[in-house]
Amino acid sequence: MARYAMVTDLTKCVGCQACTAACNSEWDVPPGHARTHVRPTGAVGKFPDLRSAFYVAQCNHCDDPPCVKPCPSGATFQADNGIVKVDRNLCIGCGFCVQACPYEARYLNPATQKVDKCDFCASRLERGRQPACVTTCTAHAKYFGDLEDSSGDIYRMVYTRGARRIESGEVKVGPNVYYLGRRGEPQLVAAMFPPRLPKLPAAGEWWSKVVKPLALALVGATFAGQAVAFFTQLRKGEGQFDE
Amino acid sequence: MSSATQVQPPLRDLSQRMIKKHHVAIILLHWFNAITWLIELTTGAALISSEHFRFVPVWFVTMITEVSGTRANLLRFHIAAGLTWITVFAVYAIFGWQTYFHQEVLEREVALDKDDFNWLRIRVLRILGRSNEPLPPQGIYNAGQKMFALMVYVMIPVIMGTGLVMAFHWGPMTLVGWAVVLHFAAVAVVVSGLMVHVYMGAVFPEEKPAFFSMLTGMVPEEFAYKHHHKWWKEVKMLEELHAAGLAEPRPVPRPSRLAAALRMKEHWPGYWAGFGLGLTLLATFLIVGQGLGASGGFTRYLAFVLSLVAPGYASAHPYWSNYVQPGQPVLMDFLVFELIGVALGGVVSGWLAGHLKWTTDKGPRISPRTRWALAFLGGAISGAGARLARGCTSGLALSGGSVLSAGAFVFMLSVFAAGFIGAYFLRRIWL
Amino acid sequence: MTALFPLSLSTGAFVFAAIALGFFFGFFLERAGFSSSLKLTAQFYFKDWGVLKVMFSAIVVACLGLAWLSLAGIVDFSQIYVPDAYLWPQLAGGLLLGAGFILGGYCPGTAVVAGAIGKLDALFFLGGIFAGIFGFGLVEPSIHSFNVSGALGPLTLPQWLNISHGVGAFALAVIALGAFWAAENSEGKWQLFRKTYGREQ
Repeated sequence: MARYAMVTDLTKCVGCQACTAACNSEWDVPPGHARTHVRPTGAVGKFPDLRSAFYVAQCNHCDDPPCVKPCPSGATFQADNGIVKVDRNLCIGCGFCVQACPYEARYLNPATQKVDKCDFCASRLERGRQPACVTTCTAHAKYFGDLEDSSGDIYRMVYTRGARRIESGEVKVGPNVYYLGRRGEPQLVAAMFPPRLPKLPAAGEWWSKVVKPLALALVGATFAGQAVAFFTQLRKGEGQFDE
Repeated sequence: MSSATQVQPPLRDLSQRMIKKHHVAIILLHWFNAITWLIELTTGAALISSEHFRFVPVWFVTMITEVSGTRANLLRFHIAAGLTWITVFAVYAIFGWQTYFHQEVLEREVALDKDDFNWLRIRVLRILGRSNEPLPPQGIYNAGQKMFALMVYVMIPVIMGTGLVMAFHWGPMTLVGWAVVLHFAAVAVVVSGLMVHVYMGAVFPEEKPAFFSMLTGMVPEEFAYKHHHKWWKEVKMLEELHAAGLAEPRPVPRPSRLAAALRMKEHWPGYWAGFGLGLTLLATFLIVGQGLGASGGFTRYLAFVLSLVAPGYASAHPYWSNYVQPGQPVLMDFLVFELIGVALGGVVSGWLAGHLKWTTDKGPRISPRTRWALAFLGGAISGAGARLARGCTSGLALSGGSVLSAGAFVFMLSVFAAGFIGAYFLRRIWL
Repeated sequence: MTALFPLSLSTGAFVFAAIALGFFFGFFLERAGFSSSLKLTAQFYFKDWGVLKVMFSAIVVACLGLAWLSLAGIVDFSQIYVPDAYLWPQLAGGLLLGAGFILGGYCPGTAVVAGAIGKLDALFFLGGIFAGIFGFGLVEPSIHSFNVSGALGPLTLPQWLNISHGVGAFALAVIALGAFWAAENSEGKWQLFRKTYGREQ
């Protein structure tokens, strides 16, 4: 089974947003939302030692995706090839996964009221094509392929050319989108846009920490009370109740 | 006027009479509700698969998911059943609004008074063996039942509302997120009450008449006297008023037709039997992908006999070779086994009704022998007709009609036409 | 998306399901009173509308249920068996079965139930069915061309009328409700029996 990964060469990226446009048209992304976006870091440092880069962000299809666990119905899941998908027929739009994503890759599609995100253009992959953003990239900065294929470009870039992930000391979930850069662009991006800590929204927190234990306690207590009543009745025998 | 409350009637007299407690509509709603809850609890528990929120074992989630095919199917089924539930309740609410939703009824059925609180306290102490105090008198529903009703009345709208919010994604994410939590919490509250309810109804010996009243609508007067004394007094008072001509005479409550039918002594009203038959037919389509039938099974049996008696003839014959082919079991057919079940079902129903007896149905003007001969002749004509039409009233008209088969309706029309015309000329047989 | 139903069963489950479903079929037929040829034939004398009520309420329940479940994607309607239509033989077969019904007092399914609870006439009727089917097998080769005439395949009424299946099911339900209303009125007000046979029941 393949293990898909994407590499973006930040030295090549010119921030033209062609990938964003291609993605928006491929997936009918509603205005105001994006499955992939390009954010400039702006000029960082002291003149004349200025540096800048573009953060090309999207779903990282993490090895240990923090968005899967909070999904109540199991609509968000990780396929065998590592792609993290949303089953639209199962999503109820509760948004528990949206805040769980450290990379802000998820959004609620206002047209369907269900969660959408990048799926590495899974339907294009099935037809043997590359993701839309890769084929469109004007600077040829994006690469996509199987990380387990030791003769492939991706393998080479990740394991010999040292493409790196955007991680922080607290958030290490094994993202599968890698970044190359000859002038330290990946480090700059990681410092400017660090992944946020996965968290549950208030409803989810209350559910798992308060409501679920209380519900189990309530049902358990009723069951225990019932058992007491049943055994008392057994001990006394049925005759007593006939009066 | 209150003489009935002072005279203590001998209990054995009370045990003879039944008092009507539940309307048929309520009995039906109760059992519909029970079935829906079973379905929704099972599918709902399996729908929560997240590690954070799951409360049933993983194998249960896997099992229910596999039975449904996909998890999306499971969700769709959960929503479909829930919407059916809401629709039925809505119909009841529309037609029962004036009957059930006014203060008097709610006070009687839901509101707890001082007696009720005492009853709850003493009931619990008695179960724990800490008290021998007599229980305070109760109305038509005891305090426990009232508490459960209150719980259900409050929680059902919550469950329905949050269910609709989730099913149709009404509102922003935050609202849907909280709807999931509220849905779960409300169900948990009802389930804890439901456990007591089911225990009391199905296990607790004292409440057995209450359980049967949910089948027949009636309770023995003795049970009402002992367990729902205030209600019994009301009933008695009304009866006295009627007897004295002070109030509209009310007919002595008799068990409804359905209640009588459930006791199996008489035949069911046509619509009820038809509804059951329809559900059976629907289940057959769902499980085996075809409908019920009869004559096709007979044909298989006959083909089987032929294949034993004259295998060469059967496998060479242009008609019988459709059924008898080398290497293919003749009897491996749905209708063959179904017919065994039909006979069993008939025997069980007849036995419950006390109808198992060797008899002959006939009109008054003919002898049994004539009837038998005509039955044989009629059977032969029917058998040939059923083969020509490729099905009989069950296999073609009933099952084919349910899938709106064009042939089925042609067949149905001609059966009824021949029946009504034949009836006129053959009236000597039956009238 | 794969639909939940119909199921594909192993042989054991298939046999068990067939017997269990047959059990309920027989049970409800007997409960409806269809184990009595007097009750069944009373329909044709406008005395008792049980046959119409039971049959059409069953058809409506199953038909609406199937239509609804296939709309919801729970059942795959294309996997459900729809009988082939053979216009002329089914017309003639219906006439024969109707005649046999009023002569013998049963139809094949109800005869099984009636025989099971001890109706002797039903047992003779069952014997007749086997004779009739055997006889049909004997003559079928010589009437074969008629037996396959008017073949239209698994045609349904909605297909024929070019309307959607759901609309067809709904229309059938409305027609059935009308028939029930007529039946209830016939028992009470219209007194079709007296009008047809010129005397009280």
